Amino acid sequence: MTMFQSKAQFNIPTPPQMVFPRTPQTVAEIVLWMVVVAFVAFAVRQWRRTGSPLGLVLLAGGGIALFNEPLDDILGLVHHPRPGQDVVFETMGPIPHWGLPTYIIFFGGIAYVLLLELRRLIFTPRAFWIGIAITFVADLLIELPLLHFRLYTYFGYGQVPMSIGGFPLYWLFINTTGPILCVAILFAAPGYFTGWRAALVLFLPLVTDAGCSAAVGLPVYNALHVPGAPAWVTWAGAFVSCAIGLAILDALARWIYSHTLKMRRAAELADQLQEQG
Amino acid sequence: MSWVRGHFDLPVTPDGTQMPPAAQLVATVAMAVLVAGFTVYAVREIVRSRSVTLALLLIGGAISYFNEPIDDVLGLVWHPVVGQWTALDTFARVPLWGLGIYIVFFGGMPYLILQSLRRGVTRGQLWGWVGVLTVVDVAVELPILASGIYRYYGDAPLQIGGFPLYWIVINAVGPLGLAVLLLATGDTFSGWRALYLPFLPMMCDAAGSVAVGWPIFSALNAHASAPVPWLAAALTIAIGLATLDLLIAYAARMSAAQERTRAVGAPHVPQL
Repeated sequence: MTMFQSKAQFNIPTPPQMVFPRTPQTVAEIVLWMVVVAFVAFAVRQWRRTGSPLGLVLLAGGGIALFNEPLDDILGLVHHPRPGQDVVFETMGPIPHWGLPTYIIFFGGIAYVLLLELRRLIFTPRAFWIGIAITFVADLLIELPLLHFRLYTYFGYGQVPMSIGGFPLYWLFINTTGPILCVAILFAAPGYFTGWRAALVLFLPLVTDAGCSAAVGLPVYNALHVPGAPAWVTWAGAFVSCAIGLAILDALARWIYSHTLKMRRAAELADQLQEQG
Repeated sequence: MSWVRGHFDLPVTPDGTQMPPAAQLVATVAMAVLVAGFTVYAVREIVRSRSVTLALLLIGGAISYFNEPIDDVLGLVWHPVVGQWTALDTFARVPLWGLGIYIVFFGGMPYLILQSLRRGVTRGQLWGWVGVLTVVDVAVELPILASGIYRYYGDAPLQIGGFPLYWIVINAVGPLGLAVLLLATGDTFSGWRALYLPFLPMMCDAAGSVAVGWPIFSALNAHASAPVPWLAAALTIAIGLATLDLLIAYAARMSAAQERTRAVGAPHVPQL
């Protein structure tokens, strides 16, 4: 028999009372799904051109990655209002429908476009950091309007550190490292995902998102859950999270760059052999 | 089964449980002995090889204890609060005895695996290391669970002696992943970059546990019927094994390449 009680024994602050705004929710869903349609069309076109359905698989994987949202919500204190919410699924709490296209775009679509870019072998660390900046902007373009219309909110015991327009900046690193790691793995170890292992790509966006979110977010997640923590503790947690995120991005840039150089040398050698032949 | 109806729908934690004093003392002392053993080994490494890697990784193992409260909330682990010698209180209070096992398992074990990787290992031998991690995990958890100083609650499937078996893969990915990372990065973490080392066990443990554990963590906290947690446990084990397989394939390739380099007497080990 299922019984509901009103007490919680883990330290979890109470979110503000909010109602899901109907019109912004509908608008967000329409806009986001239109972007998804564009990504699907692009992936289908790539499939026809190259014979590889990888783009579609990654988009599906981005959708599956939404299963990490409830974990992020409870760890990073994200509140999706319940009254009036179009619920897509519920585990630790209900997850709104607009989240699904957002994850397809961010963890599937953007990852795929980035992978295609890397495979052109013109990668440089400078281009990488420009790409990261573009990803940060994409994240802000999605989140700031949604936060403005109160489709969700970040909360805590006190004030959430590093917040601009209701968006805590450490989430840029929590959100960005996952798709970049996903891309780096597919770029550097493509031979692994062949045969029966090709099916694993479907789960790669979720696994890398969940892993990076935990690794980067752990300091600030812990700090946010300390009742009555002074501001310096939450800010210190936020800074350490940003530092870990930066270090991971830097490491991934070096890994991708070294693999790019190796691939370039292999391509040059192949060209030379072809000329000699 | 009871649930907490709030912003998050979490199963109710076991109420009114008390930390058994004798068992707590025994576990804490046993863990202290293990930590002391690894500390002696770390000092020996500093004296003999001038390497501070193990010492910094042991500190990192302690820092990685910040992942325990996260695992507790997501994976439904309960440490009795009454009479507890508390090491940390963020999401929840976590006991001192656990600090020792984190130092050994997430700081010390990766170093032992790394030493083995540097000597050159095959895929089979690396799976053997997964076996070692499994034995260590089970050997620590089963007796301590029997003593009642912590428990897995909720409707956790696949339990033997109160230990849900999917935790074996959740726990194994972090230490193996760290060893592979250290092998792959060669001498990157030397000089001032050695300061990264204390943070790596925490990052690898947190990443491994949430990346592998998300299916069962989600299922345990959902109001799902019986087959769902079992399927989620199977998916967790599958993701864990696939992640270990990916790490092992990569590590075995690097280990073989480094062995070939040594065989031809090259002065520098290449980074792959």
